[in-house]
Amino acid sequence: MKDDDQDSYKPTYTQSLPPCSKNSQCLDFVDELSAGTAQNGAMPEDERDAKNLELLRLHVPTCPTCTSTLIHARAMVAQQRRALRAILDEGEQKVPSTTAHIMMALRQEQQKVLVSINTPRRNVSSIVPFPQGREIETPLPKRTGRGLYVFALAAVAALLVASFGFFSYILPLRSVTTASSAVPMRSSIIPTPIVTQNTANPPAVLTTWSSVVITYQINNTTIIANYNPLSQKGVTLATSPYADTTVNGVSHLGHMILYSTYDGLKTSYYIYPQATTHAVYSTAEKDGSAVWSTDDRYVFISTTRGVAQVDVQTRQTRTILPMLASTALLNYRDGYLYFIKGYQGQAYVSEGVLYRADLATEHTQAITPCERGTNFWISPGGLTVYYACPYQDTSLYAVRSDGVGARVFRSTTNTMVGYVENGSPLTVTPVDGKSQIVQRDLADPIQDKVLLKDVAPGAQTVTPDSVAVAPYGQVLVAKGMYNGSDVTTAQLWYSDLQSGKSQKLKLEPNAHNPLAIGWDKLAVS
Amino acid sequence: MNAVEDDSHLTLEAVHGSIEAFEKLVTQYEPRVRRMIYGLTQDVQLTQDLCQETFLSAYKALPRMDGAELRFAPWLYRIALNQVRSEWRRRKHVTVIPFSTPSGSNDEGFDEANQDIIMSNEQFEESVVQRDLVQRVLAQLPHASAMCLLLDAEGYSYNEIAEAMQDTLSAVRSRLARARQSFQRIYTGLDQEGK
Repeated sequence: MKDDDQDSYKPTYTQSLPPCSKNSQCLDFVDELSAGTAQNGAMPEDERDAKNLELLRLHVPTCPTCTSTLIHARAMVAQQRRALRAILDEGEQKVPSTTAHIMMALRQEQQKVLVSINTPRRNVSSIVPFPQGREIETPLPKRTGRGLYVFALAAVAALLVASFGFFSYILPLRSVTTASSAVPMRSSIIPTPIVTQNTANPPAVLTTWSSVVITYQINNTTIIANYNPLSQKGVTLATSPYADTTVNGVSHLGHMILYSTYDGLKTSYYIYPQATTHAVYSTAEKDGSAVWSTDDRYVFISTTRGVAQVDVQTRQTRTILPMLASTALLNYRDGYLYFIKGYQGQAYVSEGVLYRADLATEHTQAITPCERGTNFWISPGGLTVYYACPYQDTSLYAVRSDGVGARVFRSTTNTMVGYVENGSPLTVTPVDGKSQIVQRDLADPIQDKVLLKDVAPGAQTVTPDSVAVAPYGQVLVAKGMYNGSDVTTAQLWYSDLQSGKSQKLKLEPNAHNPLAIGWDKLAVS
Repeated sequence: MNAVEDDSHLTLEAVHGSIEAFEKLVTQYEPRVRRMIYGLTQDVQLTQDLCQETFLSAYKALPRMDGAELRFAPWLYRIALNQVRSEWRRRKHVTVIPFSTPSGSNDEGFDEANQDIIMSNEQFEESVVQRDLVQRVLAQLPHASAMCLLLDAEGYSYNEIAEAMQDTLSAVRSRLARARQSFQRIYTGLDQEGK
């Protein structure tokens, strides 16, 4: 080939391979060759590039040199992106947010328009000065070389709070029923979270999964509580004035609880127990999902930029897997993050195709073949994924966690809610107006066992989303809905699947909309 | 992938004078701009100043923009990059800060023979955690190349990067390829120096 004659470059890893002049083009087009798509532009050279890309796509599979180059280039790009994102994440952590200062400066800009100031200004700017440290207590002068104003931040903040609606969310801590004390103000202008957490006495950690995390509302306040069904005792873990308060999950070891609130401006993620009620991570996005790493060291939080990997202890954050932007995370297992690609590209939804992303290589693969799949469950060993495909039929499906071997696991109407100790799925199955809990044998449907004939006695419906089965499947808490003449009420039931006995959970009388989240090992005393 | 959300409605409102809409854009983009500027300057105080200046400049420029056509994120990054450039111009006669391009580190002049070093460094993975090394590499790259790499790492498409850099798609593609190779070459050099 004539092209080959022009090549003078021969990298180490291709030294045993024939030379190829298209090698350097492979580096230019590495992203597009990897993605299988082109990034189109409107310039004449873009048309030329598109043609080159087409030719490369035909050429690479036939050229061992270019194939090898691409493999190395992909690895290099992935490594560099990871390293650069770590730097960016570090920056986001190191540099305090400037949002409040920007807002103040904006308001001052507006004031300038409204109020005529005759005093001559030199190099006027509305920039609000930053102190050198993270904590903003008193204003410090900005560097003199930049000709900026020096303001008393607290005074400005007070003026602005009084003047403008934007800061109306800076409210005093609400009076709540928890043992928590007021959280110290981080600064005079940055709003302190109104979420309060019980930080007084960190609970003892037990060896058994004896308590269940529940949420409910009282007077527009969301209560996150831990409840021991056997002792019928409960303790408030945190309270939030926001309706958008979600418990994202109990850690795998049962020691910690991750929850989040959306205050109208940002979503803040908190961990219980912690010494303070400061968010471990905040994002401007309303929606999102979060899961624990198996060793409880990290939480993974989905954002529009990818996945924020937050170290629970140090709170260091780095953004990984940008291709997972705006997806609902489902689980983390064995180096893979499982996530849902929403049906028709919808963000943060629980209906779609289940994928998994390899954290080491960033490679993603589809696991479930149903485009509107729901109710995904990964088996305790991580080898099988169960799911429903409700727009197709009412079956419960199973597939290997590498996406191979999708099959109907049970063809009758079932909603999966958990597992028993040997990994057999537990389902809620409606029978004669009651909701049975059935253990589904892994090998033989004839061996299926009804463990509980009515998970919520007398209830018209049971919400499978709110059936919390304890690890090893010995006990559960379920939510039954009861239709009254005027209103529908909800009741949580605790059931022992070995004895088949159930009892009501006694919550505060004015608690409504209770929800069972999951089991933990934190003592309730 | 496309890292820019559909914020055209907010942008349009902001162009038409809605401060509430602009505040929402600030809330949405401030963390991204902050981390990007820090990536370029590696200076906490300067990042805060430039971040604030970026948004104020954007706010002041908005009334002159065509709201229907304006793509907010690339435009904002363009302003941020200009702020960084201006700061560099202001400072370059008085102090040494990490935007200089040392001899041999200009990725415009990258030659193919360097690909050997760039692509074959098996030690990269284990030392990638050394963030200071990465910071030093970024400091030695031309700032346009560093910006390009950082935007790419943030998940922005070539088209979005081109818009932010006021460059053509083809130029961005080439710049990015060169920047990646320069990054690896400088990284390898610094890493070997440290051993």
